[in-house]
Amino acid sequence: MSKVYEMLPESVTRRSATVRLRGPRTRSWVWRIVTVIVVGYLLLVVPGERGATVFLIANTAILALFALSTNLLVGHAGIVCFGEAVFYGLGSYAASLISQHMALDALPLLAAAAATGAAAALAVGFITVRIYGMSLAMLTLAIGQICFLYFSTTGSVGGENGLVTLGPSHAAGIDITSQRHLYEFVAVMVVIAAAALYWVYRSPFGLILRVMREDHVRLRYLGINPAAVKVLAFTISGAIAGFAGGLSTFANQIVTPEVFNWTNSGSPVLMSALGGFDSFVGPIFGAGIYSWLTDHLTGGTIDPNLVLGAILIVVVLAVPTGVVRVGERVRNLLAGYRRSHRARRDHA
Amino acid sequence: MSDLLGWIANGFAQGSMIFLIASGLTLIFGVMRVLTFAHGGFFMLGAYLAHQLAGGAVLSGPKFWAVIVCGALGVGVVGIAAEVVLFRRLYALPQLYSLLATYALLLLLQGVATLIWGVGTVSLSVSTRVTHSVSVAGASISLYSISLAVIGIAVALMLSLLVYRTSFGTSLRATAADRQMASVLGINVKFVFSVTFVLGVLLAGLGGGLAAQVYAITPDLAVAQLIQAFAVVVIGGLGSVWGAYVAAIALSTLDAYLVTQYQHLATFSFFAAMAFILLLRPQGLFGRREAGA
Repeated sequence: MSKVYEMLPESVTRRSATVRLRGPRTRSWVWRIVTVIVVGYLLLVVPGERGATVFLIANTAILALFALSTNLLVGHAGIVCFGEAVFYGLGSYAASLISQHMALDALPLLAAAAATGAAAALAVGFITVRIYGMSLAMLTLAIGQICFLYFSTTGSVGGENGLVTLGPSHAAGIDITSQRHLYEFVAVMVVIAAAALYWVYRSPFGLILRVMREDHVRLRYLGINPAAVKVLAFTISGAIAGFAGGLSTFANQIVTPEVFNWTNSGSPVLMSALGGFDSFVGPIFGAGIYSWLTDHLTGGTIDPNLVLGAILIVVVLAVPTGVVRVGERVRNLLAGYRRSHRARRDHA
Repeated sequence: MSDLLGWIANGFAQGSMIFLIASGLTLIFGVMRVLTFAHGGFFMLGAYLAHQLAGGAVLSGPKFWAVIVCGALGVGVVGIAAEVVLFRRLYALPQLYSLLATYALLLLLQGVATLIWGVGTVSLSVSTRVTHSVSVAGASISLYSISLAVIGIAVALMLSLLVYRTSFGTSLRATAADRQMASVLGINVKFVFSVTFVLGVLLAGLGGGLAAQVYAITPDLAVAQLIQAFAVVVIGGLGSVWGAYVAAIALSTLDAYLVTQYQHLATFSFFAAMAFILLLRPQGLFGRREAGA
């Protein structure tokens, strides 16, 4: 048996295979209401906030999208990729470079960023098609470092200082030069891309991804080629990561080689772990926690890494299902405790 | 000729430091099946502890070596704590989770270092008697490079003696080959895990102490060397000590050459070689292909 499937076995969820594969158990109304509230908050309330808050929330939303795209590979398909920053970074650079040379509308720029990310991911997926597990994690890490070194030493892409761009002035013909409009544009784009990922998650292809995570031999028995699934998963994930990278170029107006730093590949995996690999919304929560922590602790006496590391250790050891399923985990523990308590009492 | 000798000397010096991280990584991978990110953190801690023990003084030769050894032992103590509190619980977890936990520990160690020593650079100064250069066949080679090279080869020799010539080594290889079977045969697998982990951490701490004098000590030191050590471990073959040694020396020598001749290609070589090897020979140069993998 290949080692991939040891990476994320069923012990992660402790739920039956059917439930695990089917995805969300029901189209629960709770989640619908939460979605409506979150989207409404992002689109209606946030634009009225102070500039710094709007900036932070725009970046958090982009980060959440990045984490969602990473989790498609890592959490859902069980492909442990530690080089997601490559696709994100190439998307950022593509958007920045093109907008420096041509005064394009924001939408074609984003399409170019997504296409760049997708092309890079297609290539990476293609060359790593027979590599799994720890080797794949290391190989993608190496590809990230190569990009990092290339972009930080190449003058034509700005070298260590990176590229500064004003970004596009229009999106679909609408002026987005003011911060408020730029934010609204970013928020709408993030929501659309996240919805697209959710559609993938719910689609038969999303189911195939989860089957591949659980057992790729069985996937082959079902007449589906795992290699093709892997390459396609990489491509979709890379497209969305590139898209998120393009958005970050617009929101921050700068892109530096630091974007390829391996910690930038590690953090979306970390966010997915915090929120829960197995769920769709997990990475969004993870990104929220991550962003809130780094914002509140940066510049203070305590390094954000210290707190993040501690939280991640607790999550891995105590709630491997992520914060999204804390309730379920606690219920399971309580039920187990009650069962053993009852057994002991009956025994006595 | 003298240039070549210089590159080789630098290669051995830098390679030995990388090997000290890589040897622990590859041993721990052998038994735990996880490349621990935390190793970079222990390396960094070794450098900081050496700086702390030196207390800002310019160290003479014997004091310097004493500081390095004490620093490594201190890191070893931290390693024991990490093993008892965290790593012991990871052996049963799926790989992705143990990978993440080691990543978390790296962040934690970096955070602690930032808390104690700040984000700025600290350093360790040593009397020039430790570092002065001698002339070998026309090339000027620092005495410290020679010491590093000797330490590197000595550690590699001792590790291979430990793994292949002692009863503990037999237990270690048995555990690496089949955890469950080894346990059935009466080998205390948990003990093997613990000892291997702490030994690896000790080596990383030693490497950090040795690097304290060469590199600027910052919390980022944890990462810079770690990724190169990953490359070395993967190229040498996961689990192979000699593979890691050969890869570390070869790549560092190549790197020392590239730094002087084609500076923009330096350190590329590590990652390019890693990508290349993984694609052509996923088990690495000296690694054995695992059944069915």
